[in-house]
Amino acid sequence: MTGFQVDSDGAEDKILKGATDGTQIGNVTDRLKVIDADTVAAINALSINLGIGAANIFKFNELALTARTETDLSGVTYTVPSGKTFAINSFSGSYDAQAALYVRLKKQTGGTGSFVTILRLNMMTGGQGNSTLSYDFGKGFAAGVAGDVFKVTVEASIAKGTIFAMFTGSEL
Amino acid sequence: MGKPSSGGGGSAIFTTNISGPTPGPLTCGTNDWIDLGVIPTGKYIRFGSAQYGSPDKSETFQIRTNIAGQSVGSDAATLLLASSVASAKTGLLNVDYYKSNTLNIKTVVGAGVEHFWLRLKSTSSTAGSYLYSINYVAV
Repeated sequence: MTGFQVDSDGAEDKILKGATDGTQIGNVTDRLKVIDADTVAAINALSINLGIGAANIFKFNELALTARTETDLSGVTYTVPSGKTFAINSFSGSYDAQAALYVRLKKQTGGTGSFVTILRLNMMTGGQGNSTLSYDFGKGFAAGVAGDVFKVTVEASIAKGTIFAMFTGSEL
Repeated sequence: MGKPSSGGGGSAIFTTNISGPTPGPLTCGTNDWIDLGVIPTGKYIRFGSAQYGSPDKSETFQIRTNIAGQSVGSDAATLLLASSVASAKTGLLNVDYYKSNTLNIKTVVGAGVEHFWLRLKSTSSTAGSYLYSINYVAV
């Protein structure tokens, strides 16, 4: 026997037995701690959809290219902390040479295994001139959970010029 | 972090130039090979643009790379990468080997022995003056 209401199907409805409009849990100054994972996920989803709060993660760096091989952009690695989820708000790059270059945002699920490209900017396609490209997701999209690692890599066709790249996100 | 390497237009790509005829032959015959240098080890030469002039007669300017492991200037030891014809009629010929990154004209990757070459060909054996100026980058 629990304190929840049971109706005709015999299953608990997770409604406090005997609850009415006047049922009260605690007092105004009391604190209630939500520990149910589903509830936390629901609140996070609600926060993203409502766009509550500014992006509180801002990772950026600039790199003078000296090699064509794919290179990690230093100082921009981000690991989602325990108990948090991560929503990406924007990802952008700026390159000052008229050559093809990839900027990749990569994710390593759970902090182990290979990094997978989740977003890619193809700078200077067709050599249209030095350029800045950006993905802007507004309220953001849920991209990772606790333990996931994000990083930015750069792969150039010619080792010339300087690339600046950044991403912003919300830790929820 | 440094400033862009050229004012206003971002970083330049083809930052190396080689021009002649100095120290090559001052006149071109029917078949001349001009050694443009050794391809750096582990890199290749990617060509950006060139200017060719041959005011006295029609002359073909060929960009060639040694085949891997070869080092001499000959048909058998090289591959043709691009060919242009300059004459008094064309005047100074401007050639774009890059075309806004839609072309990728490049040599083999150097192993320390391979050269890249400018080869001049003409059907006329009459001596004639010429000039070349080639912009490239070792990648």
